[in-house]
Amino acid sequence: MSGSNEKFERDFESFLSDDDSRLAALYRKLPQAEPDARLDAAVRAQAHHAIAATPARAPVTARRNWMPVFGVAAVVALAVGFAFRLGPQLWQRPASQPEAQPMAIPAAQPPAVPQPAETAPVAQKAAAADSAGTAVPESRAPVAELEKAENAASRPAPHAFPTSARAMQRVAAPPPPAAEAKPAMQAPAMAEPMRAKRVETESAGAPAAALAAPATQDRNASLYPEHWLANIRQMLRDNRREEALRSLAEFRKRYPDYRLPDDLRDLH
Amino acid sequence: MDAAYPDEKLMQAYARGDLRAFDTLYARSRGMLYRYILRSVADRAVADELFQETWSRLIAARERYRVEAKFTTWLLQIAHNLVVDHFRRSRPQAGAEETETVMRELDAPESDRPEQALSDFEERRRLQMALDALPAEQREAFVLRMESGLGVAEIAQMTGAGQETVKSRLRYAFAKIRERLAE
Repeated sequence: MSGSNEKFERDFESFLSDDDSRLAALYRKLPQAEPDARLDAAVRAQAHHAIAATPARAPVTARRNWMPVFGVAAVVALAVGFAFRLGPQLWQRPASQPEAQPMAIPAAQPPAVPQPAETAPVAQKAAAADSAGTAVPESRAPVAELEKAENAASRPAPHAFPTSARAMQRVAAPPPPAAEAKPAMQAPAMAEPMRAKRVETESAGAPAAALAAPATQDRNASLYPEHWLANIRQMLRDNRREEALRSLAEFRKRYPDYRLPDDLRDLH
Repeated sequence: MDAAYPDEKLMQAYARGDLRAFDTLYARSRGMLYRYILRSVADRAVADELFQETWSRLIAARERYRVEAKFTTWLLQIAHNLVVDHFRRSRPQAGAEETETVMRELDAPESDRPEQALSDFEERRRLQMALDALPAEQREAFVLRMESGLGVAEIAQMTGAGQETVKSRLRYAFAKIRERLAE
């Protein structure tokens, strides 16, 4: 079959060649029309223009290729900035302490700062009503929040604030009449709902101790512990040693279990 | 540019930005392409337009060219598509009057001997008339064979027809032209 096809092809090519040779000679006598010079110039100009325009597109392509890289870099920068904003409590934790209890305060230990008498029963009632957690003293609030952030949702935080709506309502319940007579002592109780809201909406809110700090105390008490310590260092650098020592003493009172950095630990 | 450099390599070189490659390629192909188009449409203005459009499309598609495709076939395929589009927009074939016009426009200088010149002129005129009288598909196959030396397979690939169809077209074209020349 294929042999007959090949023979047919050869015959046909021969036929074409025979006719080619005779007709081709005549065909070549036909006017050999060609494009005129104007047409040649137009085509060449178009070809050259196309190539000349190509390098101009190259940077655009390169820029497009870099866009994903810039995007990733922007995301990383954002993440690092976010970590700096939220992270000091995490990465300044002493490495010698176990992760689960870096600044844990024994439950039996009394709070360093006297609790307002009015708030303790309220918090205890809320704790009793809320099976998810227990109320903590004011000074433990940063620790509780930190632990909560570390533990995420894997296990209930032992000292977490009550976060259920019911508990919040109980915590935010109107203070007893005695509180009305002592507006200065009302601040911690008023801070409860604020703190609870922040615990709900932020992974790391302001320290509860700061929120509860009386206005007459060290203004650094409103800061995170690490920022407070940074300000103490700044005082030392500014030769305000007495002020720094007072502030450090206040810090120790407020965070008795906080492991101070080496440069401040022996400062007296 | 080396004359022995294959068209396909030249086309690739042009796609990479080598303008001398394009100039060489253009010089090689311009006459063949132009005559193919002109003999297909039998109108110089239309041929000019389609010729330029063919190169425009080639230039625009230069980066998509693959060396697997023979350059001449690719170029003629572009032209073929444009010619087909042109015929779709207008009547399919040129009349005898237009053929005479083309002959007058394209005629070459006559030979020195008047009787020989008359004989040559008459023979070319008959060939031109025979070509114009062919159906478009047969004329196209014949011109592609004569102008570009394309084989049956290449013409089939270029025009999108089967090889047997192309053979038939060529046979009919040769037969009709011979008959017309023998009159």
